[in-house]
Amino acid sequence: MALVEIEDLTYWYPGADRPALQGVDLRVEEGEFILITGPTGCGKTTLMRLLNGLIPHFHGGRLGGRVKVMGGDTRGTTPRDLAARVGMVFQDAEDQIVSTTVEREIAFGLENSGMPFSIVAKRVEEMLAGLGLSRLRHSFIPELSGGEMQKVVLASVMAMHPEVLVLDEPTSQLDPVSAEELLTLVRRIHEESGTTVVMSEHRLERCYHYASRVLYMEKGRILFDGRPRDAARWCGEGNKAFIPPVSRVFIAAGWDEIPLTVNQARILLRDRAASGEVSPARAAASDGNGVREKGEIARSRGLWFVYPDGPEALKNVDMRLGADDRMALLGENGAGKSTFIRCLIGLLRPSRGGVTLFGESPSQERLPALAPRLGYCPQNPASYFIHSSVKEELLHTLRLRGYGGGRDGETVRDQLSRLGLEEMAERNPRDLSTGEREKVVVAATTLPPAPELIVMDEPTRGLDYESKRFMLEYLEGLKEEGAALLVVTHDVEFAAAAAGRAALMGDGGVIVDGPAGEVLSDSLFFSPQVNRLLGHLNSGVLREEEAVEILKGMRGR
Amino acid sequence: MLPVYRFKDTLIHGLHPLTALMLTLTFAVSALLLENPVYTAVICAGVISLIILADVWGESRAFIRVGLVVALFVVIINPLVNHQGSHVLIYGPRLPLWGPMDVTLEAIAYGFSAALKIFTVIAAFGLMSTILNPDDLLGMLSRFSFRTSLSAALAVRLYPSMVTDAREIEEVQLARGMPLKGGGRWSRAQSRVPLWFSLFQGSLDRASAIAESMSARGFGNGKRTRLSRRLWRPRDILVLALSAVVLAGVIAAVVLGKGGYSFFPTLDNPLENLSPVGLAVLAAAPLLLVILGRSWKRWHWWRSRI
Repeated sequence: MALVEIEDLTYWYPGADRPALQGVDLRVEEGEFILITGPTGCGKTTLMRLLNGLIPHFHGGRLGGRVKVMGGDTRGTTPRDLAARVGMVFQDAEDQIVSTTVEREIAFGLENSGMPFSIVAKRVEEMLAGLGLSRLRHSFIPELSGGEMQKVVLASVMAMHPEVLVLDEPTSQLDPVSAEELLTLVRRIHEESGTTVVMSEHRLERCYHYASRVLYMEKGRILFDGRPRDAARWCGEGNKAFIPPVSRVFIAAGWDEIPLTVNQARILLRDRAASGEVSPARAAASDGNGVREKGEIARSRGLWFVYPDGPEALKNVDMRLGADDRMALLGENGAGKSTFIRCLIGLLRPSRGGVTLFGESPSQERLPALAPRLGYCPQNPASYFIHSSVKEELLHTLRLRGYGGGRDGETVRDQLSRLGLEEMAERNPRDLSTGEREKVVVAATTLPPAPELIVMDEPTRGLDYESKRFMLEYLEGLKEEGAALLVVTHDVEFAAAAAGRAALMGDGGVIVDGPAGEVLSDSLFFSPQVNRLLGHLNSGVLREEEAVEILKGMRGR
Repeated sequence: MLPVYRFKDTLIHGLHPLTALMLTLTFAVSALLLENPVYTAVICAGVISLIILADVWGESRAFIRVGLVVALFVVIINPLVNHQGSHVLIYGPRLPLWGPMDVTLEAIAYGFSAALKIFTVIAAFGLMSTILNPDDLLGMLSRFSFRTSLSAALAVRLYPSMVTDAREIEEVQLARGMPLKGGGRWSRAQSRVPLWFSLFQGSLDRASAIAESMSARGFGNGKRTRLSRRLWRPRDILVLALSAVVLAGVIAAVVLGKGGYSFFPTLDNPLENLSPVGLAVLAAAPLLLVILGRSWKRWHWWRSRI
């Protein structure tokens, strides 16, 4: 018997005029690791909500067809029984935690199940030790890092010993190292306990190879269901971006065999070279990766910042940003990246040292005057929204910049159309998906005339591959209009594609700053997949198109 | 910012939640029931010494600040609205419907006494909030009303997130060009209205997400159990006994008329109606805890015994 059986399922959220899922059939067998991919809004989350009865028990709505979990129809099973069989971890750990201390949070689900004290205590202890959380037992949860919080959530769910573990983009809010740790933990749970895993994830390069089966969804339907390698080939043929970059470049270079990881790709290259089918070749990296020297737009000199009652967040940071720089700022959580940009644009007053922005010293009082020249996209797009429609948000930004006049409506319409948001003009921005929200913020902050400096804090959090591709193209367009870019990101693939210059921050200081081709190469965690694959042939290779050329060259095409 | 519980390696933090609750409530109730300012001063000193012993001065700072502001307000306002007393220090005008605006020595003394009492109670609650794990406290209360205690636990848990959200929204709108810093108080308050709207909506979104996560972990369906691993130690029995003695003494003093003090029409001699035994008990309780706490920290053999 399959653990989960979904038959001819169609589902409408309450008040929705379109179904979120249509004609879905799915069987989940014991011990599988299923990865669900597809663009934002394709129905991944809805499908996962069905598995542990959140639909229909929590969300309501209309349900056609049938969902059976371990033989029982979810409509007739209580959420409490379903919760014990199917555990679910959501995107943002902050939005899942109920208690203030780690031990209590892990016990929360067990207590809800009415388990006796002895079992609750044993399972809590087991999770604390097994997931490496013992030292955090009494920690105050709001003070934990994102990765630690998500581990606590995972522990709380796994403490219930579910048969199926469902994870909805569990690493979307985490830095690369924390994401890697969490995914490794999920894999260990899968392998050591035999727990069936169903996961959706945008960082496919980190987990595609874990999967025993991959589903591809679009517009509420499952369009592909099969083995990862077949899924990669299918996506490649359909020009769909939802496969690891390393697979994408081999498909684009016309290779018949498709690797899923850097290791598989290296073995493939080695074997083909040994058999004489290919020969190592070199290709020049694109010339877009150099540091250019042009007029200065922003600068920090000996910048220090100390939070009240907190640590020294910045220590003697010297950085110069040119008028046409496209710079990526990388580093682990707490490295000082966000503090640096908050100082740079005047949101924080430096404790020591100085900052200039457009030639003057920025401050909170001066920001209204500087704002027309500055586009700041925050980490959380929701903090940008203070109106009830997308159109009003853009109009408000225009008014703040002092561009009021008869052409405002037209400017907003044009901008929305440029970003493919025309149909969302009247919608509440908070009702949009993560990717769409990000686009609205970008649309507002880059209203024409484009600002001289665009500062983006984690712009790809929660974005799928298609949205990232769109964002890259849009930023490329802004470059033509003369806008400089400073992007703080954990997304190495995005940094490699968007930036010509990169800096790595750590412990409040700049560890290295230089051309992206140098900074983002030869690193285990801070290099894109194509560099880890082909860096030994050309250390500056960062972009997929460069890798494709190298691979083609190796085959003599 | 609201002070929050952090586990620390002190005797006070090692108390059972019920003991810690009883101890802090004893101080607060005693301060409220006893009128004699000498008693109140001794209780206040006791609360402050326990705050220092528990090493939570920093965490209690917000409560101390609020206590001082409220106390100052009472000291200033009381003589202006309370005109009882026979020693007039300043003769004020007679206002229609209000009467003479005289400031009396007794009203000033009463203001100081009330301010000290209020400060002591607020400081005692500050101590409570920093030595009592909110989950434990609410766990105890949940036996009476689980829903209320859960709502309170969520409020404690989400408060820091809300503060962060509010800061983020303000910063983003500043960078967007909203003039939030200049102008008068009224215009600044007006310009912040949309930010509150955004914060409110964000809080609703978060509340909905947390509710979904709770539902996914089987919340709200059937009887719950509760993990409680706080241990009873000899120190709990000792502190509970001390609290009981103090509380019984205070109630007895009130019943026997020994805890009262009259400010009007003239000030009583505060030492006249004072019980030396009562005063000794009030002073000895925190002193004993301080000695216990210091020795507990210094001598490891004592730790395991107490």
